[in-house]
Amino acid sequence: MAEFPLGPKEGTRVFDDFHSNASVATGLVGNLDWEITAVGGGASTLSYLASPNGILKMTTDGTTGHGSALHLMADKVVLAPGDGTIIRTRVRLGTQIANNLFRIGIHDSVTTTEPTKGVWIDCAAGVLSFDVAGSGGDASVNVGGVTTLTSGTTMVVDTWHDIELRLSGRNVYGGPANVRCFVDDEYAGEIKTSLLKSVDTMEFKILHWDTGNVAQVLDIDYYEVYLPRNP
Amino acid sequence: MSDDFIGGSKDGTHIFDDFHSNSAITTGLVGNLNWDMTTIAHASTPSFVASPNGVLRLAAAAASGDGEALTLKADGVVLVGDGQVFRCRVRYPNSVTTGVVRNSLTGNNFRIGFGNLVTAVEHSVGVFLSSDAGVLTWTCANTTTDVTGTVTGIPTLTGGTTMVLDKWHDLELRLTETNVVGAPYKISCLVDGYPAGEIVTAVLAANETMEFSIVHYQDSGAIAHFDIDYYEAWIPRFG
Repeated sequence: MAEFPLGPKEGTRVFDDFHSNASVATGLVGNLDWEITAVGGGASTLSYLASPNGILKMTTDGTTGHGSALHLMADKVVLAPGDGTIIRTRVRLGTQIANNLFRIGIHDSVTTTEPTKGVWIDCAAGVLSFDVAGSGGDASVNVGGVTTLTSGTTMVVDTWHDIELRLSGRNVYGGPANVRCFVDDEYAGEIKTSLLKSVDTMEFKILHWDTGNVAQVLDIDYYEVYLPRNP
Repeated sequence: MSDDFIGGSKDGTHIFDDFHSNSAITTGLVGNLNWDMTTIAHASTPSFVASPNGVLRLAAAAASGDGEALTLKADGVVLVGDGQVFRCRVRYPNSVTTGVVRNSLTGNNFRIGFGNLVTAVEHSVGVFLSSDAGVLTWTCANTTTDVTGTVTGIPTLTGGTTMVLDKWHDLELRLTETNVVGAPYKISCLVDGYPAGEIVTAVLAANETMEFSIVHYQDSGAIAHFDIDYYEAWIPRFG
């Protein structure tokens, strides 16, 4: 895992370990007071699991296309060029892989429609990919070759996985140029053609939904983003 | 900044706000720290600016003397011993305020740090940085004697003293040594990483109360914008 300073002078660290008070209402979820937007008209049930490190459980209502998006204030994040921006999370698909989907990172969608702006980790029935989408265009790469994943590509049910995106470089639009992905500390692929613009707005986001008419479970141990401070 | 600034809670209290939060901007819910807001004459308009690092913008209303104070719990802070650090990153944005009128340094004022008042009047107790139309000073105010230093010789400031419109400035106060009544004795100021001076003879007492504070107001009679990138304080644990 990458290391970074923890003082705000050097950069912004947004993270949630999901050890908080009892509230799971919108605007009050976790340490960050996440807001909730229902996906497809049927919100998930949120709860906390007893654990050393804090776990948020998101359980969909069992209707295909339903779920929840957790987010901070809309359109208040833009991504600067350069090295050091990191998005990482530790997640588990609780009961089954099939029809269990999420998009976690920084992006602009609160529906099942793929974001048009953002950088995120994408899980479709456990199969992992990572994306960067911007007003200059989209790019996506499938995770591959990770020894802790089934066939190197797919999350294992009821197993924690650490997923990390590292942004670097500067593209022609003034945004980050490259996105490297690591899963369980193993290199999982790289996007070298980010077309994200420095003016593209997005928000911190955890989006989870199901496609199989069976309640799906996503457990989140932590959510963390580090954004170096620009001159 | 020394490494012990990022120590754990055993070593001290680390208060900071990057202003990346949910969409609430009402009193008691501003930013990560849920700042309270107190209106000075007519209420300012707070908003968040899209950025990598989170920016809170305070737009003071148009009558001279208008502004807003953001505070945490009143009288919740005393300064004991030494080692305290306050720092922030602030800007007067070159933003459009009304039609083609742009933001200005003129009459655009703030006090930031630790202080006890939520008005345009200077704190009677506190340790804080002040900007009077961009001219920077820092003050230790207390019930006995106030001491103020004037920022000078900073190459990133106009004339070494004055903030530049639309430029971010890093401001920092470091409190060192202990005075005869158990509170900090020396307060040095840094601007954009450059030493800006030191005040000595602070006779702040260790039982004088204040709060984490951001006060912005204008006395020009025009809408005035002020941006805060982050607010941060480190208070070592004693006793």
